Amino acid sequence: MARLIFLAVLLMTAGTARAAPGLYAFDQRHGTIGFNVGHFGLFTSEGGFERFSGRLTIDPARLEDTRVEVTIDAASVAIAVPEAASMLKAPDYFDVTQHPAISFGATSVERRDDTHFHLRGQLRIRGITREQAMEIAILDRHADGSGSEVADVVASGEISRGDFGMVADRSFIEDVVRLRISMRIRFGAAVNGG
Amino acid sequence: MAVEWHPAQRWLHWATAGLVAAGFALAWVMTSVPFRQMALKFWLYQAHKSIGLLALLAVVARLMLRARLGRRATDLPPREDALAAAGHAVLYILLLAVPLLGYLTADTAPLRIPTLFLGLLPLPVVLGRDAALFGVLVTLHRVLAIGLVVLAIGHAGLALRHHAAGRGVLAAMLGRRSAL
Repeated sequence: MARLIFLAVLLMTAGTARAAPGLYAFDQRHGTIGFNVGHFGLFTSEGGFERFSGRLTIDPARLEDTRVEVTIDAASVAIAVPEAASMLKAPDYFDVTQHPAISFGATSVERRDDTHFHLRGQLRIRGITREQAMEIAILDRHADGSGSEVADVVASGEISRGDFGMVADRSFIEDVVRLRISMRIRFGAAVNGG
Repeated sequence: MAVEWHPAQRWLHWATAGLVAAGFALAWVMTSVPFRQMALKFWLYQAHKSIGLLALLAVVARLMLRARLGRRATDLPPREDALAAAGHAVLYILLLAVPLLGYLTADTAPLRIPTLFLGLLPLPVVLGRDAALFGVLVTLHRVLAIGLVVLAIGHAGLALRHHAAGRGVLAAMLGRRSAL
């Protein structure tokens, strides 16, 4: 019983620890990974990935030390039209049979201001790794009812699909694909508390 | 009751016939083009949509002219005349319904592809993306479009039959002197 009470107190303390540095695991339950691509001014197509997992090492007091690793299940690519989804999984695009995972690992974070950061990392799609920059915005950072600090972390960036060997359909699909990753992070709920 | 059609009515009648035939033919072609021929598919759909909207405009103009000028007199027996009037009413209803349903089909489609009237003018979104409604609309649009074409073929067949029987309805629609 005493052990249980001790554990409960420990958990409560961890839950209310504000601005504690920590490692946060996230996946599709915590947010979305979306992309959109233009069709030469005619319209824009939107899609996303339904399965991914990531680890965010973040110290709210020293956000420039943030580290991010994300692994995306390429076969979970989703777009409203079934023919388009099949096309994106096929060899011309993500080639999900040969390259089932897309990964991103951040190597440096540069602080712009208290809520904006410039992140550089390595993005691997179809077995091709390229340097990738992302802009990070920490939005709506606030304490929730339980005392945990909550924020929406939004990462946005642009990739050239041609850089990753996705060169098909250039007459109708632009080369630049915009990415938007949006995660709700509860700072008091670190995986390892430190 | 008008004795002859106004030249604008004749012109709009044949324009409607041409637009319905072109719209229907394009529907077959555009849905058969493989998805990967995206640019071609896109422009075929846009052409189909513009043709449908032009047909809608033509029909609205025809109904306005008919309201102003009245129905053309026929020399058919009363029962046949009533059947012809009913057939024309159904044709008009389908000519209005098919393009309107087509517009809403595009409007609720899963991909937000704009309707560019004549390839240039983006038309407003009315309902927005709705997968369930899209499923219903796409079927309804197709079934009524087939109904419209079948009825139009019947309409043409009957016009030819009247022509063979010596009635001047076809000649009158072609702008030749009516035998009426």
